Amino acid sequence: MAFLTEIKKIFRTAFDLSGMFIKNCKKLLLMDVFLGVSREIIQLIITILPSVVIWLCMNRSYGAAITAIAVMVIALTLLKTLVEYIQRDLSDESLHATNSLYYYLNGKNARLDLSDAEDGSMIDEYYNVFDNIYNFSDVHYSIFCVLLSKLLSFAIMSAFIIAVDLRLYAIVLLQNLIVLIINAKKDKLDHEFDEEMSKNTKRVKYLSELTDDFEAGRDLRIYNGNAMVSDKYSNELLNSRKIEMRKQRCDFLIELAISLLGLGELFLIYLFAINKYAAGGLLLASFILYVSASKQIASSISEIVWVAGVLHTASIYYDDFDKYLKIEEKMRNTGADKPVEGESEPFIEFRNVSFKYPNQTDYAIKDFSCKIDYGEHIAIVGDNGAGKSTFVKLLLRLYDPTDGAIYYKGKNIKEYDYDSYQEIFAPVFQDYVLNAFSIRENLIFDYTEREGLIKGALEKTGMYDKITEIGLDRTYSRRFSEDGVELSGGEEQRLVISRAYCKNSNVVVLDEPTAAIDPLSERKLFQDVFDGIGNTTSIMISHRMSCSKFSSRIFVMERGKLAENGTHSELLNLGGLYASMYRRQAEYYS
Amino acid sequence: MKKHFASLSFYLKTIWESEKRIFVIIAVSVLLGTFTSYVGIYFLKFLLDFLESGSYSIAIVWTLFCLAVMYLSDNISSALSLALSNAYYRINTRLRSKILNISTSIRFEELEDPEMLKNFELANECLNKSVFSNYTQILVNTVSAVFVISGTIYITFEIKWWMALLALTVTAVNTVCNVLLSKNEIERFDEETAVGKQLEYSRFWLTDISRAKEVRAYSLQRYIVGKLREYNDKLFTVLHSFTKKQKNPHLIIEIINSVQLFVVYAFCAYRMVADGMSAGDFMLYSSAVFAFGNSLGNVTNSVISFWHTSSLMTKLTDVLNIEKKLKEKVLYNKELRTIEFRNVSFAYAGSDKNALEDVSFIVCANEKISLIGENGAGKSTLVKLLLGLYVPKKGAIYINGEPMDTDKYDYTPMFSAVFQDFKIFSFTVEENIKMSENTLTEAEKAKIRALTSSMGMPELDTNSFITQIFSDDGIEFSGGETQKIALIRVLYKNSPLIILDEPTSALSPQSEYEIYHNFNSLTNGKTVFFISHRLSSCRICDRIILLHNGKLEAIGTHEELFESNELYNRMFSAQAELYAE
Repeated sequence: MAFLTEIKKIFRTAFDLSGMFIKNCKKLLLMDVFLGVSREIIQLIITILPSVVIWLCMNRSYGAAITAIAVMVIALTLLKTLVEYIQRDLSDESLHATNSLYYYLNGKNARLDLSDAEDGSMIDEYYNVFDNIYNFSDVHYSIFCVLLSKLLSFAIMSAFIIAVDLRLYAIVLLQNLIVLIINAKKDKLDHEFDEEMSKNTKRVKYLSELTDDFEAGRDLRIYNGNAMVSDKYSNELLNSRKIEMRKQRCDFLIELAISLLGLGELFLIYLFAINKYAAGGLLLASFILYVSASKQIASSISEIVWVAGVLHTASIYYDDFDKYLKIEEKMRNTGADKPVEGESEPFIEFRNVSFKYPNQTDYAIKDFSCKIDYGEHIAIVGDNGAGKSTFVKLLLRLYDPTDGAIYYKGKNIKEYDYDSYQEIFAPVFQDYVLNAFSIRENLIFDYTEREGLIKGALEKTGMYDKITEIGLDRTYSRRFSEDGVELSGGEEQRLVISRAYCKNSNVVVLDEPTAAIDPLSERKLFQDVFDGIGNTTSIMISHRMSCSKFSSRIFVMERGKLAENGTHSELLNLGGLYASMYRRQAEYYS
Repeated sequence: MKKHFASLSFYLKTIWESEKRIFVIIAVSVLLGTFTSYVGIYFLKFLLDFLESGSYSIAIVWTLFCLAVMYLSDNISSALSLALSNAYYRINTRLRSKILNISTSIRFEELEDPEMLKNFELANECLNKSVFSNYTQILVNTVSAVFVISGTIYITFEIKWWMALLALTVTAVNTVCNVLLSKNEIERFDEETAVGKQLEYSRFWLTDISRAKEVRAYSLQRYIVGKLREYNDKLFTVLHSFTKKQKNPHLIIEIINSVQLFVVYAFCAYRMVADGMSAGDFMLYSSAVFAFGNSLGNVTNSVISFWHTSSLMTKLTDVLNIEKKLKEKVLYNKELRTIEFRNVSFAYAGSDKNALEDVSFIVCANEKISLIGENGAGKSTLVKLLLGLYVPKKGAIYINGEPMDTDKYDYTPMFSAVFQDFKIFSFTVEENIKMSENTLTEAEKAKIRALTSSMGMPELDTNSFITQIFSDDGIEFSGGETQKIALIRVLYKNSPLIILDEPTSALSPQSEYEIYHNFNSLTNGKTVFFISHRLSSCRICDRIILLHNGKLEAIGTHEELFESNELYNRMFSAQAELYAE
């Protein structure tokens, strides 16, 4: 039964992957088949050429021998040239098609619920699939080129051997069946080694990437940490070698056994042939032909074994790949409504929202209720770990509340279509990242319809002059191009805020946006965000209490709860947490 | 030419010093390889001869003998290659860790030099492509080929002298084509790496967890796949253009080889018909001529790849040679009295604008300096120069009245720093603080405990790993906690000068307040450069250096600057007004 499911899995893998490859390049399988068959014909010609010539010469027909040689050599030249051409094209196409599998994988990763995408074991799973996609690259080739042609040659060569002796044929088949079984076992063993390796690979990768990590390089210099890092690197490399060696030693012993079987088989073939010749049942010329045919059959079986190995390995990883692609996108499946345009009351409402991160025991947000009206400018302040960033994640529906619900224009946000709901917000996260592509793409990605908003957005953050000087098409960072541009921390932060403005959304959400921005720019930014350009609503998290001066209302969060809520002067008069935090910072300015 | 032989001698020297067994393995491989190719040539000939003469039992013994020899030599050579790859792995590991060490030791500025970066890349590339085993392969191939040639040349001449000439001609044509092909291969590889890197970036980084929130909030699913498609298509176009160029040389190789095949078989057939040559000799002669030709080809191919491999190897030796320069530096371990910038100017490579222009000031030991300015004013540049990560283009920096000489001295004992984008490594907490692998003494532990509590942090298990890369039960710290660890690290080093670049940006007002409050006791007896956009930090420092557009705008105490400098007044007020009740 287990065997049948394996076989079923292999078939499904072969079928699905061939489909994906054809989608990328229609000629691919045709090229495979042509390549395989041509190679077999070439092999056949090379095999029979000497024996045909010897046979003809022994019969003293020199003219026929020359003609035979000429015809076969011309055929060989033609086929070999074609094979050279096609196999190169094929390898380019095949690389392209294999890389195109990442469209599915990365696209899926980008659509997963954030809670899944951030889950440790899910990340491991993603990289496991990611690192093993190369195992799929040979699937089409192994089936349509190798398997097909080798079955063909197997049939032809079998005919030769059966003609000599049927018992011999049985022995050959039996021997190869044993090899097949050993190889299947070996594959399983290899897979186990792989799992052990992957942890180690993660470490080696981390350490080797420190070479091009500027921040790391700088800190290592200042603290003389390079000896530590290079020691760790060589240790991890040697560790991975130890695992690798165990695998190779194991492989070597298996190979030793397999080749011993092969030796026995080959010897038997010769023995039978010599016997047959001695008994007068074989011409000398056919003896040569027979011997090379036997070698062919052994090699074609070992190729078929190789195919089985490729397919088996691929099927194991394809299972992971397929499972990953089929992970349910729960958040995207809860509703399909489009948010209605225009002003409407109430705007945003949290009703008794509680939230716990997966695998955590403490609530990050506990029984939190609040209302935000259209056009309000909210500042959120509070200690580290008070739940400010979590509030933003819930509002943006990056996570769903554990209890309670969030409403947008009177409707539970779960009822909206996920991507349409995202259009409402333009967030700037604390841990923003810029990509090593053009400045333009960093602002609007591939949303070309936002092109017209770039100028205004850059002006608002005071980056217009700088970016005009640099040029929108210049690449950010020197990672790939020497004329790429490096920006300072403050400039990067302002660029990311411009990105949010380019989105032209109703609600701007900023999480600690001014850590690297100088006082004058910071002040202008606070004013711009909160003075309400257009009718946007804004929500800003900041450790700078000063930002709250510009806000229309302040949420003070403490241990996941809304501790205080009111305007700046209301809260100062209240004399609570806000007042004490504010005065702490003010102390150094008086 | 000289360079190539220098590479060869580097290769031999490295093996001789670290893995002598490699020479033994090479010798055995060569003997085995030569022996096997002769067995291959003579096996069929004698078998056919025995059969024709009717000595069947001898034929069987001969077959068994030859097959067993081939079996043994196959397996022995794969065992040898396993041992070989093991030995090379050890060499590679040593070199890799050496390269990592060098790349994290050379001056920062050099690392930003694209030329240097490329050298490091190529050096690593060298190891990835296992140049060492390539060399060995070349050596083995060449020597075995020479053995085979010297054996088969006799047989080849025995058939006809011009057979050897034919083989030579064929080899010459093949060689020319192979040179063209290998040139194409090298260019193709360079292009492939360049585009491949971008593809890898799109593939790996766009779906990295650090971008996960943005990907969802900005609906970037289409963008991500589009980027992958763009670079995948670009890679294909590049590769394919090279593939097309390879076609002609391959056509020529096929044609010339076919001519050889035809001539050899036709001539052997003629000898069989005309001179009554035996079937065994037919097989022997034809395979000997082919073996002769192949070996000639092997020799020339080895020369081509020797050329290629050697020029790769020079990149590796270039990088390794940097190490010699590094070792000569003397640790600068003196007491710090003064730091002076005298007319310092600096521009980044590839930029014609000065990031810092004619900056001069003197700072005395134990002074607390607040370094401020707008974005892009030159604060970070000034710090990088001070740390010796870069060298001024004009002017000089004086330490204790002597000009700073980063070629002669290693100034790291003088400095420590927390940068805005500090790096906490995925190692243990104590390794991150001490930055070495030695276990902590009791005194050191106590010191860390004291620092931890002064940061207002709960007691840490210093042996626990940060993040899960090196340990499954590693801990994830929040941004504020990581910043505190970076602060502990800077104070732990106990250097006379410390640089704090926005050290409290991720801290809550409460934690920030505590650090400000304890600032003087934490940094007691040290010179401090404090960079912050929170101008409240100016109040805890003795003097302020205000930069503007790369120039020194003003230097003095808060009171002085607040009175006399318009820009400072404006900047400070912009924040202070917001705190006026």
